[in-house]
Amino acid sequence: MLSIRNLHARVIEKPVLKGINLEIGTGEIHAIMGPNGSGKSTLASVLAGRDDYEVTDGEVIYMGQNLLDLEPEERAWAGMFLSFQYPVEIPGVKNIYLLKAAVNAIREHRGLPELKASEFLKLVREKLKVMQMDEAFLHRNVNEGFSGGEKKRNEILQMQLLEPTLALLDETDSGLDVDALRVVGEGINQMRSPERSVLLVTHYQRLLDIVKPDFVHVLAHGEIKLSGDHTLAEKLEREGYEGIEAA
Amino acid sequence: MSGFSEWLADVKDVRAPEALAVGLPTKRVESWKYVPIRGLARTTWQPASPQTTEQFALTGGQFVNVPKVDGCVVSENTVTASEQKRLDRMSQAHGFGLTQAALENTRLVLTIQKTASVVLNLHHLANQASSAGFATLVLRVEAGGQLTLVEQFESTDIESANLSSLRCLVALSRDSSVTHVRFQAANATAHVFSNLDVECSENASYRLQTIEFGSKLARNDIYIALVGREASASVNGLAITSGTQYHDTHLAIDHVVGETNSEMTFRNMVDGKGEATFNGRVLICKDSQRSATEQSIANLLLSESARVNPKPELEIYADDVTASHGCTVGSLNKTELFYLKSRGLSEADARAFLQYAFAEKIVEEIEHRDIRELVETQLLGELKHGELIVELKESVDV
Amino acid sequence: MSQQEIDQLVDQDYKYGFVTDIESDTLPPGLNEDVIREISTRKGEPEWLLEWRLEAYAKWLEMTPPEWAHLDYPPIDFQAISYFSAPKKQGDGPKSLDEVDPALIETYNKLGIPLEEQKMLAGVAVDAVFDSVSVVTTFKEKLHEAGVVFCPLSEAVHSHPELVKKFLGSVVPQNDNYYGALNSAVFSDGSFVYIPKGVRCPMELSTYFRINQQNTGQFERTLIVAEEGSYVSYLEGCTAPQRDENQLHAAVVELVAESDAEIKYSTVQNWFAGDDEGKGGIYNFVTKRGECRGDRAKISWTQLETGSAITWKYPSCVLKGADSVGEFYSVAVAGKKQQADTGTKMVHIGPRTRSTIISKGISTARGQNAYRGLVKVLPGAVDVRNFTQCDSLLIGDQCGAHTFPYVEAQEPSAHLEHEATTSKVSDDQLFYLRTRGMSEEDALNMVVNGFCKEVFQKLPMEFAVEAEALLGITLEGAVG
Repeated sequence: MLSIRNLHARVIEKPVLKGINLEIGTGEIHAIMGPNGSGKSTLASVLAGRDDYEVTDGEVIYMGQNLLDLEPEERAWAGMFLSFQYPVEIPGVKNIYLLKAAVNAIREHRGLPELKASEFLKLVREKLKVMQMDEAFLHRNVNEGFSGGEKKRNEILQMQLLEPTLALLDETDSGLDVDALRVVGEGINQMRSPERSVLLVTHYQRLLDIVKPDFVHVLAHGEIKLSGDHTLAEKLEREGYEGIEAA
Repeated sequence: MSGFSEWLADVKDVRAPEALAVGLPTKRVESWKYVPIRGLARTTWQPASPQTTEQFALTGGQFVNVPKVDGCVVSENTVTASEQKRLDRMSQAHGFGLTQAALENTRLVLTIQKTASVVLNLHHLANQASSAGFATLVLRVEAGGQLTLVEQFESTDIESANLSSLRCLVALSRDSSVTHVRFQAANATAHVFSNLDVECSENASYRLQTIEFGSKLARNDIYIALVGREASASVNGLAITSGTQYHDTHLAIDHVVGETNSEMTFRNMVDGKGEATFNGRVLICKDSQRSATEQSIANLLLSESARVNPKPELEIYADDVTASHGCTVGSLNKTELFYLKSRGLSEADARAFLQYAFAEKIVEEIEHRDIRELVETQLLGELKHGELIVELKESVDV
Repeated sequence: MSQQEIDQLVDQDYKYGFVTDIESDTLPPGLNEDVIREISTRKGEPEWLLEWRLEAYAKWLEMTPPEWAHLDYPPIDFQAISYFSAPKKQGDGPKSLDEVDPALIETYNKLGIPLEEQKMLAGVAVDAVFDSVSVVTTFKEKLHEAGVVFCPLSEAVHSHPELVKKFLGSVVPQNDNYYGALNSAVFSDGSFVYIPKGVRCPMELSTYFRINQQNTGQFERTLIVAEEGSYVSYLEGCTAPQRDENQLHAAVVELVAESDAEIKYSTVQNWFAGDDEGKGGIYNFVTKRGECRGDRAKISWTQLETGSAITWKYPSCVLKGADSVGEFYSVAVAGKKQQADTGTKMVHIGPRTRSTIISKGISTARGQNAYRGLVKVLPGAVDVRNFTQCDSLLIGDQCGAHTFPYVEAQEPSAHLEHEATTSKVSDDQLFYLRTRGMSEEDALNMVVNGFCKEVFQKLPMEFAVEAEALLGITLEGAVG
């Protein structure tokens, strides 16, 4: 589904990714772990098409297309979804406007008919329930005044509605208490399917206890230093990143 | 030479010779430094004549169909000494003030009686090409009275420059309140001048919501004096400026006594070759302790040629006060755009979303439902790609 | 804290109020073309400079004093001021400290200026201006080795005429403003600094100014040129003796920074502020402007303004070069009956230029403090950034704090942010510190110092110490 080959990227002259190679097959869940500043979030941002980063070398093939040629909205239309580490507040725009506009934009590109208001509301209410969110969320401005946990739930709510084929979840577990972590984790698990792949970016193992990855990769200094199955995450939790960073 | 010279030379008003001598304000006058005055000077202005209408309206410098409602009395056309003083201050504020005073057609004095609750809808009709109307409205709100004043502008196309000027004096007695909504959507060749002078006594509250959409040139001079304890003023404004429009608001609030509150939130959204000026000044006088003021000004520039001149001023002579202001200038936020696009919105839709959101901060505060909806409709019509939001509003707003 | 206590805290006599008795060579009061010719002759200036002065004078005659500032003072009688004063020369002027008039050295010592060993140990060269003629220049050799020119402007006119001719008035033209034009006509002396390409000035350059002669206007003119890739840090500090009559000070400072050059200009200003009624204080009308001419150039102004009865001063940056940077860090204190109208102008012309403005105003007693600033973005200056923060602190209920931030933006990619707050020293803060064992004045001093910290951190180390001490003196009355 996603194939990253020798990806190099930099921010304001400073190289952050120094040759990433990663293959994500259909239906697989991959976790990228690594210490702060290792380039984890940069990788997620580059994949989603944020233009603060300059790709200097390498290529990314997503479902046969050259991903790096696509605008962020084209990536979304092609079934990609990024859950932001810091979801953006947009004062003045109601959450429900964004949700409906996004759902219909993506449906249109999938050749599906637009959802009628009643159908849309029915669908949203269903998903709200899963995420244990109150309906009042819909009429608040996008992420404005949300707590850290509410913002992350809102991200997963969006993911549930947009039904991506590839979900990039950037530090989705940060800033969550135990209960919220469980809700968010379950929300992700519910999305697991043989047609959908997930890339989890995280610093800690705790989300991986709920969402069991098929593969774990360790990123340090802009390179993948180590890959393995989910036991690698447990090992890291016990032993820390020091050994790997030195490697 | 001012475009009013011939007219001024004709009128009998005692201020005419002085107005003639002073002429139109130039860019050397600090508060007029950005105003493109040429259009005013180029036209040879003549008195506008009133048109027939069913509504309570200001047309050709005259008020017609003054409503007869309970609690609202048309008083004699004379003003008190203190009102005259305030009118004189308006006249002296800048060179154009004298012209406004000298060319005044009519003056209407309305009294909102004690504890009455009155709603007035004033329609501004467009004046004919090359013609101008000057009027003064005096509103006296007695103790405990409540007034909602809604001003709307007719937007009929006029082929060339036309001008309408309203000087409005509002006096709020103790415990009274005024909600003043102004929706300026005048025709594209209009020159709209509004001078507002408000005085709030003890525990009176004045709330202004002003939206600038239309006209070629609009200039608002707003002065609010908080003269009684617990008096408060709140001003919310939005200017949507495009084409070659020029919108200018000069707002001054004086905290004359202590324990008074003021708040101003103003947003300018400028596109095309438009230019917007906002000057907000708050004065906290000596001994006006325990007063609070908050100003926030946001400016959105949408094109290469758009210009904006914001200036939030504070003058503070008392120490036990809370005062703050913030001002930002920028284009659409890149991170917000990226966020919306990453959710599948096209660039055009994402931009429309953010512009709508910027304006909505002010629009959603308008309590007067009809006006709010009118403003929203106009706003969405103005936005490139506003259709998506219209559709969303219709489908999910219940 | 009661008003009386506050008054006591902020009220103290000018620490440096005394007059040095040196014979002066002073022109009688009055201004006309002959006076300008006389100034030029006495300074032995070339013809072109006299012409330049006369041109400026002709322009000044057609100008009117600015009235937009938030200042209240009687009209200045420019004919009652003497426009030239020089300490009496002994021979051809001193070649070392030993040759300097001992009374001068005594003055510096009273001021606590460590002109002699302390400064040398600190590695600072000093070009001290006593009244209008520079008389002492040290550490010239070391600077000479580096190729740095640091000398009185009057000397540079002779030693480096081509440089002076090229740059003088190129940042602040003769008719820039009323006081700038006056300065151009009658400027007495000042510093000239030239840092050649790629040179990092080996020491911080420092000049101490001092007004001494009764009724003598002080018209300093300083010109600093930093060539491509060079760096210089320049310190300016002033103190003045107590006087009964107002004294006019109209200085001009011009900075030129070429590509990749950086100029850091720091000022501690402590001219006599006048008595409690504002009588006798200095009128300080200063024009300071720097131009970042080349790409990635940087100009940084840092100032502590505690003195003068009237301060009218807007150190500015014209950001022409792409990616050039302008900074303004200011602490202004207005006590007694002082009035300050100060701030900056940041003019963004080049693409991606950035500016930062941090202004801290402190008002006490009957002082009036105004921040006035302009951030201007011209068309084509893409991706400009500005951040402005101006905070005001009020101590006592007889003073005033005012903010007049102008913004003129003509470029949609600009991102400008302005924040301002006005507050008083909170009783809670003072109480908290006192419960921790501090005296009231220490507590006040600490709160005020904390308020100013962001700016003081930008001053060179030794200057920062002086600045804190000076602020302490201004607020406390304790002799530092």
